[in-house]
Parts: sequence; C-alpha cells; structure tokens
Amino acid sequence: MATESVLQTTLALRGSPRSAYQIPLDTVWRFLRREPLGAIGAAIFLTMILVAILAPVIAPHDPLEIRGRLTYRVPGAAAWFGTDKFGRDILSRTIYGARISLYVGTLTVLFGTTFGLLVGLFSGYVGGKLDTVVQRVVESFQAFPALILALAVVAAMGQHLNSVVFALAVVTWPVACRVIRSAVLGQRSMVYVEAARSIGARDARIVLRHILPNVFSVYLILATAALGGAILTEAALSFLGAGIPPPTPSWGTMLNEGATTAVVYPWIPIFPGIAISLAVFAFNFLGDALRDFLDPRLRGSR
Amino acid sequence: MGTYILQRLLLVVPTLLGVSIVIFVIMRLLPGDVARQILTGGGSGQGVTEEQVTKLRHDLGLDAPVPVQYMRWLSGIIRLDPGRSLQPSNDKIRDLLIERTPVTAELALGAVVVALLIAVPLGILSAVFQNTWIDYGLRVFSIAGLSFPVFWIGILTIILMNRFLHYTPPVEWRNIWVDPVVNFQKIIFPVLIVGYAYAAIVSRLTRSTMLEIMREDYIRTARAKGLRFNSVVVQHALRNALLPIITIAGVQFGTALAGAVITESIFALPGLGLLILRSILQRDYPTVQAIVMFTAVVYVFINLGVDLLYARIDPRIRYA
Repeated sequence: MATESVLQTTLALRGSPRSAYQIPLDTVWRFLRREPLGAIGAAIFLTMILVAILAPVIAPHDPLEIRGRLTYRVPGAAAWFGTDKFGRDILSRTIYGARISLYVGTLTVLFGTTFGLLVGLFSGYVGGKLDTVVQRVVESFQAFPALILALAVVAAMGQHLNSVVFALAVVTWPVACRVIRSAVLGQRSMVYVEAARSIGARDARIVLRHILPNVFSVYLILATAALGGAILTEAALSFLGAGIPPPTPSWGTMLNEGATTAVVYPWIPIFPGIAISLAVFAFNFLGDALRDFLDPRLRGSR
Repeated sequence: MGTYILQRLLLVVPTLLGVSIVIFVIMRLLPGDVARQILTGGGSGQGVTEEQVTKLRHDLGLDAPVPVQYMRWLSGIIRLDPGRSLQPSNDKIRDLLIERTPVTAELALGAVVVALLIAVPLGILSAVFQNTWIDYGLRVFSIAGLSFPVFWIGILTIILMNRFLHYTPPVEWRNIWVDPVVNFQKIIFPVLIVGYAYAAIVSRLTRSTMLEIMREDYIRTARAKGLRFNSVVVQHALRNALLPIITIAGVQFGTALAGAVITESIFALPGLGLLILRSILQRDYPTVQAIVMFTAVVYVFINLGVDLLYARIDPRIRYA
C-alpha cells in the first residue's frame, strides 16, 4: 500500500518517470526563455538545417551551372546575390554551401569531439600510467596551432572533402579529450561513484550509467563550439586554397574566388562571408548560453 | 622553485619529440606517395614515369626505412639546419625562416598586445554588469570577433578602405627599423583584425573567470569589510583571475599565429604564413615540416613561459 501511494505521488508531481537519457522538454523551454541569445542561436541553426535540406527546392539556379553571358552581374532582380566570374548564381551557391558546411561540421563533431569524449572518459576514469601517456599524446597534438596542423594534414592527404573532415577531426579531438577528462576526474571523486562501486557496480556500468550523463552538458557545449569552429576552419582552409576543391560551393572557396576582385565586385565575397558569420555566430551564442544555463556557478543573482 | 623550473624544462623535451614525431608521421605515413605528389602537383599522374618517381624518391631519401628517415630529419633539425626547399630557387630553409619570422612575429605580438589591452577591461566590465545591456553588448561584440572569419573581415576592410577612404596600403614591406611609417601602415590593419579575434576569446574567458571569482566567499568578506567595490574588483578578484587568463592567453597564442597566416595572405605580408601556404600548395614538404616544427617549438616555449610565470605568481603551483 505504502509503495503504491509513493509511486502515485511521484507520478503526479513529475509526470512519467524518466531515465537519465530522456530529453526534458520543460528544461528546453526554460532555457529558451532564460537565454535569449541562445534562443536566437538555436533559431539560426534550425534555419540553416532547413535551408540545407531544402536546397534543391529553394535555390533558383544550379550552383555549378556556368553561364558565360551572365558574368559579374550586380545583385538585382534576376540574381538576388549577383553572379560570379563564371556567371554562376551566388544565391544558389550560398544555399548549397550550407549543405557543405553542415556536412563538414557534423562529421567533425561526430568523429572529432566524440572521439575526444571517448578517450577522455576512458583516460580520466582509468587514470594512472595510461592517463599520463594519453595526456602526453594529447599535448603533442595541442602543440600545433590548429589551422597549421589542419593545413599539414590536408597537404599530406590530398585535397578532398573527406580529407578536410579528417583534418578538422584531428584538430578538434584534443580539446574535447582534455575538457571531458577533467570533468570525469571531478565526477570520479564524488560520493555516488564510491557508493555505486561499494554495492558492486562494474566500472563499465558506472561510466555509462552515471558519469556519462553528468558530463553530457560539457559535451554539448564542446559540440556546439566544435561545430562553429569546424565551419570556420574549413572556410579558412578553402579560402587559402587548401580546403575543399572548386567547383564545390563551399563558402570559403567562394570567398577565395571573390578575394582578388573584391574591390570591384564586392558582392562575390560579401554574401558567403555573411553566411559563415551567421552560422558561427549561431553556434557560439548557443554554446555560450548553454554554458551559462548549465553551470550553476555562473548564474546571475535573480 | 628551482626544482619546478627544472622539471618543467625537462618536460619540454618529450613534448617536442612527440611533436616532431606527429609531424613526421603525418607527412610520411598518410596515404599518398610524396614523390608522386610532387611530380604530378597533386593531379592525376599522367605523363610521369615510374623511373622519375623512383629517382625522386631516392634523391629525397625516401627509400630508406622510415626510422632512418626520421633520424636523419631529426638530426638536421637539432643542428638547426632543416635542409633545402624543393622550390626551383632551392634556398636553404633556415634562411627563409630567418627572413620571414620577424614579419610574422611583429604581427602576432602586436595582435596580442592590442588584444590584451581591449579584452581584459571588457571582460571585467561584462562580469561586473552581468546580464545587463552592457553585458549583452559586450558578449555580442566578442562572439562577433569569434564568428566573423578573420579573412572576411580582412576583405571587408580592404573594400571599405578603398571605397570610403580611397586608401590602399603600401605594396612593399619595410622593416620597422628601416622605415617605421611604411611598416606601420602595412601592419596596422592586420594587427587590429587578428587582435580583435584574439581579444574575443580572452574577453570571454575573463568574463567567466571573473564571474566565478566574484561569487567566492573572500570577495563577500572584502565587501562586508567596507572596501570600495572598485578596489575589491581590481585588487582581489582581478588578481586571482589573472592566472587562468594568462594561461589561456598563452594557449590561444596559436590562434594568433593562425590568424597571422590568413591575414598575411590577404594583406600580402611576406611572413611565415605565406611561406607555409605556398609550400603546401606546391608540395614543398621539407619546408612545410620545418615551418610547422618551428611554430610548434615557439608555441611550446611560450606555454613554458606561461607556466613558469604562473608558478612565480601562484605559490600553490610550485609545491604541488
């Protein structure tokens, strides 16, 4: 009788019981209300996803179509963003560029940040000599400025879409590993871990069931930052001519193509630049707001 | 303190070795035959005979076993002679480095100084007035600095300067000791742009560190004692905040260097950035390795300096 009423009370108060992994919608709503900048970031992010998915539908022209008679058109009725030196429609190219950026960004987070998460979890939890060795390896990677390391990897692997993704992942994972590891170290010394171990929970269970959900917020912040960083770095690589090869409409490549003639035909570099800035803005707002929201020490006095 | 310095110095050696191994591995073991890529310029490889590839491999010493290649390269690096460039000019890489480092160094250092002068006060203000319009404004400003691609701001600057100020920067580079005016003209915009990007990161960190510290008990005590708020912020909070700020400023020096690479390309500054770019695009592998190694070494030593500075300021580190 007693247990039944406790369960009923719990259900009445909190709705259906949840596991650590269900997305709490009311928390999302609270986040959007409390952090307006984060809400803006999320909105831009969603718009970007929509644009990328609907690209074939909303783009007025083929982004790769060369039209010799329409080169260097000023933005106007026929071409809202103007055309470039091959007569390609800049609006369409910018829209398709969203696909490239999202593809590169998501894969980098998937491979880079997640790899860093796994290594950080493992290294932080196991500790000891293994941890020291892993940390030295991470330091060796972090000794390079990111762009330079990415340049070197692309140089070695040749210029393809996937070698750019690999280069970005290589550059992203050390930071993720470091941050997750220190979060894991913080959790590992907590009492609940000791309690779980004392009732016989195996290490794998402790890591997956207890530590991982608690470092998840850190991972989320890292992922948003990495998405923004990946888009920026890919654009930088393509701008320098060492990234995704033309004619693929990466925003960075478009900037490269527009750089030399920027003074005469400013619309060629301006629009992709705005796109890059908006995207990275969005991710940074989001990450910033997430950090303020999730870290209880940083809340303002209300 | 002496033992700590010694320990840190000793730790530098394995880190640098690790760095050299990472560079070497990237260049040698990733897919793609170096010799073939040089001969074909990264293209499809028509018209390149196997004999040419074999001869080039032999000339570059690529047919030796990998550890031997590594030792050869490493011994060259240690003797401060990284060999010769593969470009037709065939310069000694060391000369190239000596010639171009001052340009990049001036850019990077200028950017760091500008950035710190802007970022720290901004971060403090943002923390003190958290969640007010001042804070939001400054956060937008610093996120903008992080989000706008450095090269885009560079292009915009050139466009704006040309359209509205009718100004183009001088074409040739002049050393600062030789002709300070031209030097300043060429470098002021790149410094401001890279400095802005760098300042964005440092100001965000200053803000979050100050926020954390201002909630500590000793701050509350200081205010309860009746100290003026300004003194509390500067003498108590800021002092403690400086430590993580210095650390991140050192770590992010890499960002300043990367920004330098990009701005050099836009503003045509003859520094390391342009050199590494050209070398990569023309598959000049020895030069690429040498520059990357050099950058990494500089970076490691800057972090070492930061760590030692840290130890000097915070006694807890020394005896940890």
